[in-house]
Amino acid sequence: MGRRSTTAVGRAGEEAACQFLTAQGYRILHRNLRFRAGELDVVAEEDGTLVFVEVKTRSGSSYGTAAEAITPRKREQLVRLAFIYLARQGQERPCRFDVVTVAPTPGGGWQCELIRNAFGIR
Amino acid sequence: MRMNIKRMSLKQLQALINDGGPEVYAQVVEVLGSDPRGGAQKLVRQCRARLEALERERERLQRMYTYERQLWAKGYKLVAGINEVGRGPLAGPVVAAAVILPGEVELFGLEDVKRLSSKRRKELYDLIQEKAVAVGIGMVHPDGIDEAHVMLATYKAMAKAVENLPVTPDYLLTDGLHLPGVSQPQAPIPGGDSQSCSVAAAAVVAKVARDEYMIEMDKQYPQYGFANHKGYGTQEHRLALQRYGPCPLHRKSHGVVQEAAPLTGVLFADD
Repeated sequence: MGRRSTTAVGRAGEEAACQFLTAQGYRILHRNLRFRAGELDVVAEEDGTLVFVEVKTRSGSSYGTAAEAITPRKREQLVRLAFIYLARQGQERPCRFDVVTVAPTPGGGWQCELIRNAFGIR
Repeated sequence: MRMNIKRMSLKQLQALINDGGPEVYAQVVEVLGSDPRGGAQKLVRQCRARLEALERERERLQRMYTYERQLWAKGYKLVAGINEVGRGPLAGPVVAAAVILPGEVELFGLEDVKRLSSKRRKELYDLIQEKAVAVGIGMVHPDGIDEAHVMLATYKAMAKAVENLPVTPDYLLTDGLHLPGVSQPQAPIPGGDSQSCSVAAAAVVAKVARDEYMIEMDKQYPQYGFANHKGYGTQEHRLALQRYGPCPLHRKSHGVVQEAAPLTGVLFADD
């Protein structure tokens, strides 16, 4: 799994995802929040809930479900990062993990799919 | 029984009251209420006071079912109270428990677990295990002593406790923490230990389970005194730690964790 953020497609996809999330009523707090242990794509807020959003950008050719896209290892990493973030904020608050899949459309746009509460803590 | 009470001497009655329950109090009040003897009236006053205390305790417990009652009325049958202990110590796991009560079980003396004696905790623990529909326990050792590690372990322990319930709850009441990624609706109850019987009961179960675990671990690592302090930072514990160094149960501190570990020295890119 390569670093999506280093590719132009990935960056454009994240931009599209953020626009999509904003349109859904999310308030974007951080993008590409880097920690030594990894990166949180998007940290947002919706109705008082802190939402950690993982953005999955697909290139045009390959396709799969969002469930396939998040491996257990990735999930564990995201949960860890989220708790580092929460600890740094110094507060406990309702949070959840969402996944947005972004795929380019033939017309040059992006098709976004949002999965709220995609996974939890195991 | 009533005939007996009438024939008893005041001394015998006093003994009966001392190891009798609420039924005895009510009978004594009834039988001796109009007895002119001073000693009899003293017993009656004593019994009345005890009955009143009992009534107050009942009312207090009923108030601690406010959230549960509302949820039961809405049709949720399996409301699980969730609580956790062991965030603060230097060693040992975070332990969470989930307790589903069948209805308004009278768990006399149930309150904030920190205010209960260990004897009382064990009694309540046994009563909860007997009366509860289901009890689940989750135990997770934090990878480090810092807040992120301990919080992560706390949430994992909570999730495990819910998972380990033999039945699937349909509503979760937590001690102020919001558990992400669960399918059930949930409500955080800040100060849940004194607000909700289910949440308070979960704290008792978690506390007793953790204490028992640490007492067991004391046999494996006898030099630290885990049976006494349960991993908390008492002087005995700190001295032992200085003298013997950490054991595998000790939470790693920033300084001890190696640079290669994924969670150390994390920084925001824009720091």
